[in-house]
Amino acid sequence: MAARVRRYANAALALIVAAAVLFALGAGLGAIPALGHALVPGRGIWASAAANLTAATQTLRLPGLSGPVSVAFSSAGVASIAAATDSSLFLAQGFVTASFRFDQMDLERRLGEGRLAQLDGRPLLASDQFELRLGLWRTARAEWAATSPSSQAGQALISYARGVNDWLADVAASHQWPVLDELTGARPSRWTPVDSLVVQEVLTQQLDFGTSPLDYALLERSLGPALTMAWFPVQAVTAQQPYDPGPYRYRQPVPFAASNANAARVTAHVTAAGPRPAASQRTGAGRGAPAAAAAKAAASILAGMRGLPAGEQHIHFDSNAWAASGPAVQGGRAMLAGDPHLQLTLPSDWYQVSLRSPGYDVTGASLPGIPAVVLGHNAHVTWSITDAQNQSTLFYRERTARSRPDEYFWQGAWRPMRTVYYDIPVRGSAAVPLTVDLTAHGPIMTMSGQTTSVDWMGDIPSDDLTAILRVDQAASFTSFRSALKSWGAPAENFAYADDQGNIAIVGAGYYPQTPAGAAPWLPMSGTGGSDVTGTIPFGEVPQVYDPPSHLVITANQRPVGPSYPYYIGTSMNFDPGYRPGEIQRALGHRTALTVADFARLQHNVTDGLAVALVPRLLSALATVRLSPAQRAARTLLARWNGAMTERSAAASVWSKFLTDYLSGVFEPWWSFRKVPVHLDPAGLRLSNLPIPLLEDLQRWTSSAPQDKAFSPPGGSARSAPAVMRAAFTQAVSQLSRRLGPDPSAWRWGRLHSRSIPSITGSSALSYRPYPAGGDPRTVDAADGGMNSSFGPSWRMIVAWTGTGRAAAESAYPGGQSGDSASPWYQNLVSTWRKGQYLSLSATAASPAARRAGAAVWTLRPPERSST
Amino acid sequence: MTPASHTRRPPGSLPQQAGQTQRTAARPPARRGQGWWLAWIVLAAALVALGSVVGLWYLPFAAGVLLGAATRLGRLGLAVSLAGLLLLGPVAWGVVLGAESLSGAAVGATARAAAAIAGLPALAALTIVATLLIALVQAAAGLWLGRALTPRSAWRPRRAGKEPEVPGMP
Repeated sequence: MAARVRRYANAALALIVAAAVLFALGAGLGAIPALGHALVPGRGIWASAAANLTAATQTLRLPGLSGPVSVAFSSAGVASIAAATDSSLFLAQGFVTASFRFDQMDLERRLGEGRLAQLDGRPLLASDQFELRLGLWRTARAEWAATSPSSQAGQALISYARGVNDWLADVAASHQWPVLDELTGARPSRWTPVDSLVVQEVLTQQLDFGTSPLDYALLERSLGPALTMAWFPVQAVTAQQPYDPGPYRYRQPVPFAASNANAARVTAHVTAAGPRPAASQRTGAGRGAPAAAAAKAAASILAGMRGLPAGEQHIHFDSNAWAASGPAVQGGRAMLAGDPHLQLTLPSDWYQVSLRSPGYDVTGASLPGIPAVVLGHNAHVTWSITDAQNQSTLFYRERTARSRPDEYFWQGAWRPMRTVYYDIPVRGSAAVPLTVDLTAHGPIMTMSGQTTSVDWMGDIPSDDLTAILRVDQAASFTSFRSALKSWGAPAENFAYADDQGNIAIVGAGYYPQTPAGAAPWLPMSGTGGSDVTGTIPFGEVPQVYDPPSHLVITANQRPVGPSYPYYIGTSMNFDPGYRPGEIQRALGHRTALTVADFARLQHNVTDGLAVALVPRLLSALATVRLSPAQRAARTLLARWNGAMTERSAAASVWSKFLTDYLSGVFEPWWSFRKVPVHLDPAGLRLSNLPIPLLEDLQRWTSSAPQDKAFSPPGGSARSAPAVMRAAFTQAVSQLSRRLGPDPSAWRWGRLHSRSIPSITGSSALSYRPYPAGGDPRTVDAADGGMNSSFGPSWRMIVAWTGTGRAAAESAYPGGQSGDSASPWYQNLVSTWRKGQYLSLSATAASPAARRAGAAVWTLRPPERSST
Repeated sequence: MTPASHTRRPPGSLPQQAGQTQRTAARPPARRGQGWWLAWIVLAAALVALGSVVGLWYLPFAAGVLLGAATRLGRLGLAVSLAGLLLLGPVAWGVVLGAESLSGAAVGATARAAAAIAGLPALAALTIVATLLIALVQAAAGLWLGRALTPRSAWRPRRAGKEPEVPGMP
């Protein structure tokens, strides 16, 4: 009997264990993927091992093609697509890009559509919640709804999506899904035009969604309004480097091209019976609103943003573009250099491609997920982009009342909020519901402390794709500028040069305007009096064309002078101008500039602030006794030209001194006034060297060394030289402890490195940190800390040598493939790192090119079956 | 059981107790040798390997169930059982991986990427070992289930004493 019981128990246990094993392997267990499916040889991840990791010459049949297409690949993996029709061109672009970058495209659309947690579980739920609140997906759908399928943009989006879906069909047939998809078991859905627009929205967010009003709210709460506006003024206290000082005339703001896709439409339905809210009901009215509530709301929104993946917040801005013409350049035509700075990733944000069809002949950098070339050159014009940096995000304190849930008070009446519901799928657990309330301004981002909504320019549908398609086709400045009229968000400076010797910059996009008296740098009253009234008319946005200097420079600096008649942002928004200053110094008054001159300048690591302040420091040190190490460090600085090269020991001394100097001045205030650094370390931590404080420090050091800011609150009086000496002493002491007693061995590269992280977050798939020069203020900028992963995402130089003739070269840190197993995964990094360039021209699909080793895909429509 | 009796016993057979006899009528029509069983196991392993190529990831389990039943019915010993376990699981899948690698597939690089994406150290060996372990665990679970569900064969002699168990087998 006992033996029988044992046998039954054994059988039952075996059944349970077998069922558990099969279930776990077949369906996954919580966050553990279905490893049976994922790891079975021949399928799962191993099927992708058999996929071609580069490109082999072959003929492929693609449904939807309206004509033959050839795709020639250079040995570095750069694709040149030549198509018989425009629609086939974009279909092929979708197919080719998906072939090498689909994982990246899928992650981008998931990010914007709030579907990352479906892949990676709860850690990314906060990101999904934030994005669905902000409304990238809603905006993309509104954009697509407003796009005619037969329009230029509609045709390109539809064709591109077809190409991506042709690739998905191929993969489904071959089971060669990317490793990420196999490991997660989440099969990607078909690509749609909305997905492309979501990817565009994600980039818009990276470049355009700012939180400076929240920082101002936190600073006002701690420092007080007077000190906040003295130290973080609207107009910077130092001289700026506008690319066009004007003058500009004031014209009334014009309406946006479309209404905010994330705002509640105000209908005739209002709750008119309600009285105006009593003061006790108010959660904010005007600038006198309780600062504690505003600070609490700011903290809540900023906390929500911390869940975003790295690089999705607009924190750093170091892009450069300049152009020279006429006598300034060799040959007398025009030459342009551009290096947009972004979060560096593997794979890169960019996919280099050449597109040729009856309607297009353009080469440059494309964004995986979006048709067309975003920056590059065609037969007659070239262009690059820097971020305009204007304030595009406005926060509103909505007036609500407990007695009126789901309503807000606006323009004299209580209005119903529009509510949107989502279920966010979460891998390994149940879906999480999310409710988003929309007001007339936009989505409510928090109800903590102060119901706060955001009016973000990225929430307004803008026909950027039509603009960029027309830019791709532009043959002159007239057509180029005209194309940019439909550009909305993000506002960008388009630097331009053409084969006729013209150069220009156009700051295209939305510049939201508020009524006089509003303070848009702070969260504003949401009752209607501070609402956005429109945008700056296109004719009055910052722009310059063929200036007498034959040189135009844009580097995220304030583009116009202080007399500009519109509000575009505060000193927190713009670069202090050290980079444009250095570019001006290097190129101004030069003649016959060459490509090599531009290339050298793109790798310039001179810190303009060091050039300005080091002499002051040396003066401060002249009258005091120094230790041997301090004397050696001072000697290094005295012989230094401000270049933050990897081998420079003076650069280490300067960098450490600057951090200590700024902290020495402001830390006592920060501590005394309890500035809540932890709520927004990126914006408020002194070691991150907030730009307005650097500008304050530069001005005070030079012309107001007795400013009261140098004296700590409640402490004894200090001057700039005294604080500088203390900072220098501290810097030398700390460097001695860290790098040894000999200052000449304190190479900057021992403290400072660059790295290129993988979009998967895996350090093993990243480009490891390596000693590097540069800092956030150098033309070759390295931002984001001592291990910088933010910098020149693309370098390009185009020199026009004749009508329709250009010498063009480029480099970018990455590779054409997103598959880490591919030899094209990071093969271009070394070229970029060495400061070299590759030719930026199409690879012809000619027999000669094939003999030279170029692989060619011949894409054809499917053969019709004979009946 | 003494070491001597153990060595005299044909490999793979169950040990006989002293004085035990077998009735001819209860013998199976054709008792097979261990080579015969191994041949079937190798054939099954080939099927497991082929099945993996078309995505039948659960075949090591199914084959393990059959192996378990066979160990009961065929009175197979520990050595054959263990050999079967290895052949039907990791060897079958390993051969496919090896063949892919020999044909030029980027097995190592893919394994490294998978480990890295999974948040593990980026060692190709980790993914490869995990793959083979999954096959082994399946086959073992199947073997256990096959043995547990298979009744003792009718030809087995009834004994007064306790039936000896294969060491290590449930």
